[in-house]
Amino acid sequence: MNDTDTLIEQLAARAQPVKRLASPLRRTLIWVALAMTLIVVMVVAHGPRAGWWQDLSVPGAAIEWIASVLTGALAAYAVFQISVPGRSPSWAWLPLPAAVLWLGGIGLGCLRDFAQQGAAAFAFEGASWECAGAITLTSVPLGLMLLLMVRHAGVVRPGPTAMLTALSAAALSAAGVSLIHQGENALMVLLWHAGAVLVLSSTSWLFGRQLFSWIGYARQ
Amino acid sequence: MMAKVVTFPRASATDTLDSTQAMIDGDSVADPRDGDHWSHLMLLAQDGDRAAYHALLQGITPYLRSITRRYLGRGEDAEDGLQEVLMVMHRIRHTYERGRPFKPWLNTIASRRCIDLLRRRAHRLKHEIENVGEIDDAPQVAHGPDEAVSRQQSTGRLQHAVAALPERQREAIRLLRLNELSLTEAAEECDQSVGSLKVACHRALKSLRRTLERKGTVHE
Repeated sequence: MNDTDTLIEQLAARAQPVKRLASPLRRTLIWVALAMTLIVVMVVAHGPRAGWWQDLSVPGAAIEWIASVLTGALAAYAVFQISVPGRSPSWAWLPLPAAVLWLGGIGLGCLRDFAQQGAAAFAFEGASWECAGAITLTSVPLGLMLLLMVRHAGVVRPGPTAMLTALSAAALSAAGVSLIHQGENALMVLLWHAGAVLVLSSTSWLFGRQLFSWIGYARQ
Repeated sequence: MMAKVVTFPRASATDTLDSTQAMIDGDSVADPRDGDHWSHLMLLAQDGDRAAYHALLQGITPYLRSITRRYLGRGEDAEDGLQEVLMVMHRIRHTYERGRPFKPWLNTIASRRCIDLLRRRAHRLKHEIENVGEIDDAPQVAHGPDEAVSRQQSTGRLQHAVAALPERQREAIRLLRLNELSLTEAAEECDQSVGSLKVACHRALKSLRRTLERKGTVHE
């Protein structure tokens, strides 16, 4: 009996019943519900900004906000798809249209501000960095929660899974933070909101293997 | 310690599944490479049917070997790769979903593992080349048949010393040093806690050092 035969005997001897994965849709709904609960608690605890409801009643702003939530939800669905061996990696592109709509909406906001205020619309507001901080702080626990749910992806597609995980967590966090912070021009929203999402996602892509290795499901 | 090797029953929960049972009994009524049969065996294995799992592992081994050979060549690396693929598959067998094709699931796991191993091999080669560069720069001493014989003897002594270790310690060395698993992975593979695995590895190294020093083969 060679080593492989011995290994097969040993593995078969340890074939305990395992719990199969739920469908990607079901797991997405569970995670989005958990994430939204956490974000709602955060918004309620902090107190929403004055006039948030009126702002969201403007179609452009509403589309932009819904697009950010949609980016988060679709990125989570993509995570639950590509993290399973044998499922198509093309699912990774799923959140792209929503992300384009979201970031495009912010970009249009910049142009609208410029048309109304001129050069003042591009004034740098250093204090707005708090948005990026809040998005990051909210994204970390949300992202870790999602990573744990797809920890098996460490041996399949660690980089793209970690990137989409961060995108999902950050996009939902940005939607929550936009209900709290106020007084920023669109450029600052683009810089700090989209910037935070971009930095978190690309960092997760680069260190995906290490992240899963830290969880215990991939080798560095 | 690895799980105890058991003899697999010839009959089990597969009573209602004639074709599957036939495969387990060794009377192959269908192409053993048939993904549908493997899928069926995997579903049974997920429910804890050890005989089905054993049959599955034996059935997929030649198929996996052809994949690992394609990536890693026909040497020992391919067999090591095959064992690694089997271990990874065992670990994430819960990710196989009912109703989905089995082969793409298995292929993804195998190819990802092989790519990781190739990456590791490239890293090791690079490291070795750097070391060779350092050795070339160092003053030259004793190159020749005598040294080759001496090295061969040292290797033999090391192998004997490892073989003489208690089983737990030998297992720790095999998983952590030879298979280069992380502590978490190795602990899961051999059903030990991380702490006891660390202790076993530490004791094994201490014991090896003592044995080899006694035989005068440690050169520091």
